Amino acid sequence: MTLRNVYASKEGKAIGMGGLAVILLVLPRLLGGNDYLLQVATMMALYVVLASSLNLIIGFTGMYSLGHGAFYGMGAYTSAILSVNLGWPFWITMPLGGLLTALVGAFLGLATLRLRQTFLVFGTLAFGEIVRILIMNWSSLTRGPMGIPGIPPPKVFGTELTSSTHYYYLILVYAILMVFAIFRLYYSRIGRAWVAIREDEVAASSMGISVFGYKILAFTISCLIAGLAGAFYAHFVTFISADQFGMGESFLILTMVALGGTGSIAGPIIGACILIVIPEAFRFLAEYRMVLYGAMLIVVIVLKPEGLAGIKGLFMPTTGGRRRTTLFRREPKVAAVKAGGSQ
Amino acid sequence: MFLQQLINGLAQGSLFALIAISFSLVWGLLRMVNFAMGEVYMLGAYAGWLVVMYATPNLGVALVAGFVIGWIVGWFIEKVAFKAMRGVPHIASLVCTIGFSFFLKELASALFRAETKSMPSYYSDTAFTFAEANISYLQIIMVVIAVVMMVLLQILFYRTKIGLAVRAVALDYRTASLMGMKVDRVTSLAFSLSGALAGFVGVLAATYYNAVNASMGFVAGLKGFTAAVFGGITSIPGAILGGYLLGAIENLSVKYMSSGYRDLVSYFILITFLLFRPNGILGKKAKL
Amino acid sequence: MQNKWHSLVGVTLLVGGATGAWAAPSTIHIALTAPITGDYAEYGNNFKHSVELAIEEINGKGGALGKKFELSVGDSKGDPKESAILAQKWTSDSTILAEIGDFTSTCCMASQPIYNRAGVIQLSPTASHTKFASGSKWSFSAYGTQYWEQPVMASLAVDKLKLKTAAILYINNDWGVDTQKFFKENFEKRGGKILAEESYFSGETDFNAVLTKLKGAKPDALFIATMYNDGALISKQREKMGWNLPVIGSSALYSPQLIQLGGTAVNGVYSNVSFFAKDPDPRIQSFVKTFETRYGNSPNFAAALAYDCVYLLAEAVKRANAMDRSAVRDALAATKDFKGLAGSITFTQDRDAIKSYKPVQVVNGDFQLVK
Repeated sequence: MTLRNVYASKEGKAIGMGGLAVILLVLPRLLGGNDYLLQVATMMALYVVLASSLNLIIGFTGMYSLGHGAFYGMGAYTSAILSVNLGWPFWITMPLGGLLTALVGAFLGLATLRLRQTFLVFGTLAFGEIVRILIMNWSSLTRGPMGIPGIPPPKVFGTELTSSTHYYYLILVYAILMVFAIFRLYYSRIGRAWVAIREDEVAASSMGISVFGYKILAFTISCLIAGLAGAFYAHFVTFISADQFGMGESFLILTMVALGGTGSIAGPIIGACILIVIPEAFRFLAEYRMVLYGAMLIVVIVLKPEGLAGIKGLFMPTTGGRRRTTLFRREPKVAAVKAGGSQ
Repeated sequence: MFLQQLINGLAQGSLFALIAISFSLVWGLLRMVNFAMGEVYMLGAYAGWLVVMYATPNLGVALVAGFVIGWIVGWFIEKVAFKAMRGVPHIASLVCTIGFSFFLKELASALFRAETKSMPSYYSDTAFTFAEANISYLQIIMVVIAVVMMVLLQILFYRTKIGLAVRAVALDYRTASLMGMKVDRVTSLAFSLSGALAGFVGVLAATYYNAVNASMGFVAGLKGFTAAVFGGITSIPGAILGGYLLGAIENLSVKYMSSGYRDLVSYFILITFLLFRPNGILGKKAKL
Repeated sequence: MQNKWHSLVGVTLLVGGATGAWAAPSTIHIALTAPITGDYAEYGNNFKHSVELAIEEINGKGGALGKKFELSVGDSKGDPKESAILAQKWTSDSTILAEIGDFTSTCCMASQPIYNRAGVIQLSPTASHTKFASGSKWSFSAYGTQYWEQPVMASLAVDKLKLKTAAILYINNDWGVDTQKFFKENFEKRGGKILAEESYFSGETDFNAVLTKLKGAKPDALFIATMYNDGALISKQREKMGWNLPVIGSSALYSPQLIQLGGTAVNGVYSNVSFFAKDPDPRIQSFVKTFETRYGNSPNFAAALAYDCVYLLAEAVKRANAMDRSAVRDALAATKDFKGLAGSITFTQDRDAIKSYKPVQVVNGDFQLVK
């Protein structure tokens, strides 16, 4: 089920990746020019990127974040403002959007020095809301609630990308690059450090791993990827407004990671695909569509708490009780935070 | 006008305070947050509205209905999102309550149709006017209820056997369990009680604002959590204090700056306290 | 991995196959995008019901060009992302002639480029963003922008009610900001003075603080740029504060729900209508009656606008005398003095509706035209 098993055999790896690549590449053909399905596929790819990037924080490093919608929006806004106001081309504004987001992400990463678990969830959530309120109120820059219309589509070799197929291939290339990069990171020295921190911070730090530095790095890279995805989105929909990057987005991305499975490469990919397809598949239910969506979320999470493609027995922080009682092991750490806080 | 803003703030603050207690109850026991708390509040409001519309115009009955519905929903959420998921990644539990939040909100929207329902006014007359500031009976009642609730819960936790059990489990879950205590029953009780409180406040809020709709819960939940962190999430007096302070600060902030920044103040308080004083104003001294 | 992806693509194809609308070419197929679930579900359902009603009526009379109307409904949840996905769904279905929707301007504008690329009519009953209809030649708004509406209200305030100063409370979204801006502009142009302006975010329930602040500015009147449910809430809280003054709102206040929710507090509130449920016009009366008996609630302005949209399309098809997307678009753009439930509609160069707005006031729990 997990990537680890697939990668166990070289043949499996080659066949799996090859088959996947071929399917993804000929997908527009396969769908027979059905732009609706292509749009769904484009959205899937976009959220695969977003969920995978959040997985860097949640799954790899064991921190929680509910502010990803804000980072995604920040990338979108930066790129949109630069290209609409200054007329800069997409290929310059997109990296800049990513960089700015990464910078803010690094700054937010500082908060992880003090915040853990649920407190970090709420801290990032509040941060996301602050970003949204600032976007709404800073009208001279962001046009406030009016949003930014008329964002130019990206150009490749002088031709504007306009068709659904173009956008699909653009996001596909980006998604594959990012997933591959994340995969390489996970199995690199950095990834091992992250996993070490996730599994036991104290042990990791006593092994000489700079816990704080690696946490900030995780936030920075994650936000960079999300910011770039946001920039893509801005030039894709051509109209952005603050309500497109609210708490709902943060919740959706977090849910994708948790549903798909934290800590694995395939998890967020599967989570993103499912949570984009399900609302479409439930369309026939009319007003009960989202009721069923919520119910399905609950059932899946209860039946498979580690996520559909998650790694069982992963040393994620757990709820207190029978099997593992980190609740009480965590106490000294909370006390340490307290001590730090009252200085 | 300062006084009026302060009074409005305190009235709103008592709503925040009661939701904050709901968060405190669960937090104190399990170090968990129920994301669907706002939705329980919303369902409580619907229950109260149904009673007032179709059964009896008695506000007391409506409040009880909110309490009961909240109790049932809180109990159910505990069974599914916490008990069934003990020992699994923390995040799964969190996402499960997010799922509940979605589910309950959309269910209410589908069942009751989406439009805002009107809740009749109760005790909305001005009780007295003081230096140009009007205070209504309902505002006084709300403040009294919040304080009484706090006292009752303090008595429950510090003067009864049930309270002793809850505190024992909160202090050390495993030891309490090893001592033969029915920890499951205690957590279930705390959850149901926190849900019941949320449902109860929902009815109160619906009466104060005269409106019930499916999306009323989320902001209330978040503000309640902020109030809890602000005052001290591990203590009930702290939650009450946080609620009143948050209400007052929010309302007064509108007086001094553009109202577009109103929510910013709350979120700023939340972040600042999480970062620098995670145990809130009352901090370590207070314990559940 | 491979298997997973195979099944995933399979699921996607299946979903597409199952939901893709399939229509015989002998019908006029239109699509409706509306927030059936989510925070705007109330409006979305009003859309859906009245569009269904209108189509039934038209089909009962034999349809247009001898062809019956057929409807596909998609729920956008008020989410721009889903609205765009639906746009792709509609545009990739060659039988679909035109789309009606979405409710919010944000959703409309997020899906606009897709309709533009595909060349499909996007007729929104309620999009009021000034940049919406002008953004693409395929986009139309039946609501009309605040640019046309607010002079009516400003003139009512200054010329008729002789008000000199006002305070504004508006919802912080594109519609609220536009409404606030154009009211202020027109009010000041006529010599009035705005003493204070405050905004709030959607979902807010406590208006005591902002109202207290606005009261401190001591204006002659309060202008509220809000939808009716917020408007009722604001009025109730204002009444409890004991702050009595003329309250003026915009057409979005007009709904029986305002009175249901607001009770006595909304007495005296001014609003304006292009659709007036008590209009003796038999068409309006039969619409209101059918709507009420069938769906159990009274139609609001959004319902009337969506209803009009169907008729606008039907008429455009007749005038174009063709089922061709671009011919119908041209005919629709040429609409002049179309008599709808929500007033007559003439499209401007930018495909925004210019409508007639009649001021109304709540008198003893009922809307009445201001003479």
